[in-house]
Amino acid sequence: MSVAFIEGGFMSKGKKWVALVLAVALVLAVALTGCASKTDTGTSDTTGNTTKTVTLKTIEPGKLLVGSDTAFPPFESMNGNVAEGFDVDLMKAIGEKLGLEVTFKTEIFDTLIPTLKAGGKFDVIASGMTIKPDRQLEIDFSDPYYDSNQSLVMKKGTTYTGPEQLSGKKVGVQSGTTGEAWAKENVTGATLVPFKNATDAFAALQAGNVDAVVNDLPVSTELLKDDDRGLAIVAQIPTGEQYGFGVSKDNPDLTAAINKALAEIKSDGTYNDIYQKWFGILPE
Amino acid sequence: MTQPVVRIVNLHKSFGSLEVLKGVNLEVQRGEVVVILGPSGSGKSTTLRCVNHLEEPSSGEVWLQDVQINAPGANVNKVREHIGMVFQSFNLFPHLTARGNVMLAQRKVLGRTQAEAERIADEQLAKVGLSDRADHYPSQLSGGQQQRVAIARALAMDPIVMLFDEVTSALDPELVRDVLEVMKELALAGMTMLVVTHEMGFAREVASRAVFMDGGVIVEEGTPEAVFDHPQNDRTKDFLGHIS
Amino acid sequence: MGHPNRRRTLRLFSLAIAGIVLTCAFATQAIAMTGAKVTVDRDTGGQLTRFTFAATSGQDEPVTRIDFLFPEGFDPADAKVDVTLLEGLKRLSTSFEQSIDPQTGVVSVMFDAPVPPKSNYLIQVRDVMTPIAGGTYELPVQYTVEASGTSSPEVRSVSGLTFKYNTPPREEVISRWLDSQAWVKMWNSVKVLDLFLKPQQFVRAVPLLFAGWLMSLSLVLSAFPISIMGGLGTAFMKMSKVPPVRWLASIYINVIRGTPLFLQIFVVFIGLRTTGLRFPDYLSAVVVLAFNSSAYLAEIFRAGIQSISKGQFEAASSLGMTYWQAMRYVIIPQTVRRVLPTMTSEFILLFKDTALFAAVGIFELMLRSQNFVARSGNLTAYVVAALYYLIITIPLINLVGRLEYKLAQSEHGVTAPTGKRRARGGVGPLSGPDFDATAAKHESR
Ligand SMILES: Nc1ncnc2c1ncn2[C@@H]1O[C@H](COP(=O)(O)OP(=O)(O)OP(=O)(O)O)[C@@H](O)[C@H]1O
Ligand SMILES: [Mg+2]
Repeated sequence: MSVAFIEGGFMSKGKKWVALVLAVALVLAVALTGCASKTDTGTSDTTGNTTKTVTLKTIEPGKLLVGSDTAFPPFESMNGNVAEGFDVDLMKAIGEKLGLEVTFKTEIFDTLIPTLKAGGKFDVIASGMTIKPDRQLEIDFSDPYYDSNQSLVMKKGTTYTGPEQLSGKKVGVQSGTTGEAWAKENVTGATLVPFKNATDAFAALQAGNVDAVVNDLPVSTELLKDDDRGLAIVAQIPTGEQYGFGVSKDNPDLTAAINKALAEIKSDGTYNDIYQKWFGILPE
Repeated sequence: MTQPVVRIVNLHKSFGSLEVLKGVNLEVQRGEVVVILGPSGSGKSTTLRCVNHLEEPSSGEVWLQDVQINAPGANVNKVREHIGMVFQSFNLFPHLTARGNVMLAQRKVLGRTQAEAERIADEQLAKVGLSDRADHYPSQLSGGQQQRVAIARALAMDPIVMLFDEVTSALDPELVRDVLEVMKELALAGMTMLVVTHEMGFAREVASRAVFMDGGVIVEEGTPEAVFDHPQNDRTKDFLGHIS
Repeated sequence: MGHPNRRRTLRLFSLAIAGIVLTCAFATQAIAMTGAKVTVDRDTGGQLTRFTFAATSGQDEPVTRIDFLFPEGFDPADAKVDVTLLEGLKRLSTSFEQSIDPQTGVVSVMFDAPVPPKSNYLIQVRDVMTPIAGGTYELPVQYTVEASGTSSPEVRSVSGLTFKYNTPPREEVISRWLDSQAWVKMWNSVKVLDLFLKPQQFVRAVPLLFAGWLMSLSLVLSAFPISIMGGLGTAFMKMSKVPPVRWLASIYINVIRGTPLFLQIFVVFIGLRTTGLRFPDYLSAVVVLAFNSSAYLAEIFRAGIQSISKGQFEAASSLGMTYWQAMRYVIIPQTVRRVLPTMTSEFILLFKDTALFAAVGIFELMLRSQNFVARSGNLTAYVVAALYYLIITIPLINLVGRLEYKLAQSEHGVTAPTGKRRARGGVGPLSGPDFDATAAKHESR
């Protein structure tokens, strides 16, 4: 029994090396080729009186794959295994204009940009992502589609006097977000505790693992809407940030097409309908 | 008559619904070497194991001198200190050397000092002819050597009686002799012994009494000559016919 | 507004000397803008840095222009300016022009139309080169209020706006030096290498993740001895003659082994704390790990103990040893040898499992690397983390292999140091029932 068990558990030295080399080769091959077949899709642009054909590169022909951290209501969240939310509807409307079928893929927020850059997994990021100069160094952004701000969430009944109050405390943030960047710059002397998503951060706040959470205002508002956990938004932080859709720098045509579609959606009222649906009011 | 070293009175033992011992009565006097014979499954080992309480009797009494080992509340461990047992499968402690095997219980049970335990261990190993193997681990010893270490280990506790359960049957024939030699010397030195064995030569030469068991009871007992050469019981005759 | 606002007109001779005057005379400056502050996005000097100025203008302050008077040593020559104006939380549209005077270090924002009073200003001046020496600096800011009626345009100033950063540590200096190396540029031109093995990030990540590695290691080193005790205790409970004790052990073992460690972590870090029961993070983490691996070790130990032949226990008993003496001196020492490979495997698993604490904000290796990746947008930190894990696991995996080999040898008597043949006859002291705990444990969680 023991002999078989040793042979089963450990490859001979020779075999081990062969396996290792093969594995490395495979990884490199996959990574270098981007593991995607790029195909061209002809999209008809029928809004103008002239019909111009834009050639769009997407990973899967006829499809627009969208990367999103789907734990960010009301922008995106999972209803069962179907993504829903403001970004989702907006992206679908854009997809319709572009003649592409939109499919959402869930990805942790802080790996969205590296994954998009690496290519092969999705064409667009729609994840309540703020347009920021340092992100613009990595990827392109569409025109802004939503104006947002930050919020500070603490236990209900806490009076917030200013960032100094958080000195020496633990502040929960979502990893890689503008909330994190704001906290890092403005809440000096606090320990920032990064979480994968806002839901986890709020759970930690409720459990007392952190003393405050900095998070996008509309999301905090949504998550704490029917809150019975004793959490409340204690401060609105004006940052005037704007969300945009992220596209690889290798695909400027797609960015342009999205911008065009976005403008159309805004002018034909679709944008307002979607806004109304998810925020209950019309945009100002 | 002096008090017997071991006294077994109407011993019954069942494993679940299987009654293995059905009323065994046996007394072993000081200095006696009693050999137990019998077909397989007759209850020889079980009887022996009841003597040092490795098996708990279902009913009856087992006495070591004036202490009843199966009395409720009896200090079994205390009684066992005085009963040496040697097993068919040696059961040496594989993580200890021969000397370590002989020393362990001296130190932990009898509370002897390291030096004393070591002295006695070397003495006993010398007696069984293994002085030069004291630092060997069981895996480095032959079966006969292991069994002799096991005997030394039991003797080091200064037992008042020694139990042997087919101690040579797991050994190659050429190794049996050494072990029997040690046992013979022990008998000659006056040790009280209760021996389960199929070695007829040894039994004839060394035993003061032979006991024949069958079906969980003692069927016949007497001097080796009486039992071996003039068996009274049919089952004894039948058994002896088979093995000789 | 905690302090009275005062105003003072500042006559402007030249922007160059104004900076100096401002710095010296700030004690008497009037401040009309409220909540003004300046922050920087970098925590070390000597690199392009983004300055963020935030303030709210006063009731009667339609601002036409804002000047940032960067002190000596700061180079805003290539700076870019972003302006975000808000009324409350509502973003206002704006258009402006920027001008930079590299000589004086002044960056000016000129609004095409005066900004309405009581606006929130968020002005980012990007790509300003900072001096390398860390410290606290001040950025004087001036703004011009539109002429109203008879009064001419008025220049007001905000002072006392300080920010600070540190002198870059050695790895940061090395990393920046790498930026300029030709081979580094070539290396990074390969997409995969740039993403997973960027030298600059590698150099930064190594010291940064080291603390996380220590944390992971210390967690598992604190937990494992407790697990061994707990596992042994539970193993004995599971072998107890008293049924309720046995049941208790079984329930514990099955619940722990039957649920993900991730869930157990959440129960302690979120669940228990929500009910008010809380221990410090580190202690909680050690407790969860110890609780978890105790259950696994209990099964390993139990299987190990039961794999020791019954004859060993009987031999010990026949020598007058008590149950615990037999365990302590005969059974356990043999069990230890037998379970050592499996125990080591469990240690490896437990060490890797510390990564799960990233989810609850324990700054161990995984969280630190995630953080790093999130901030840099580069995956090199994960490779560094992998190396840190491997430093521990590879030697241990090797050790397990050697232990298993040795064990197999001793159990089968393949070699004996003196070359002596071991007993034949199949009833050797070590040939107990097959020992399956190892196999049982090799599954991953
Ligand atoms: N622990 C046990 N559980 C159940 N049955 C047992 C147990 N130990 C022994 N027995 C049974 O009791 C009977 C007597 O066994 P015992 O070992 O005493 O016989 P024995 O005379 O020593 O035989 P052998 O010469 O084969 O060793 C056998 O039928 C055996 O199967
Ligand atoms: Mg027997």
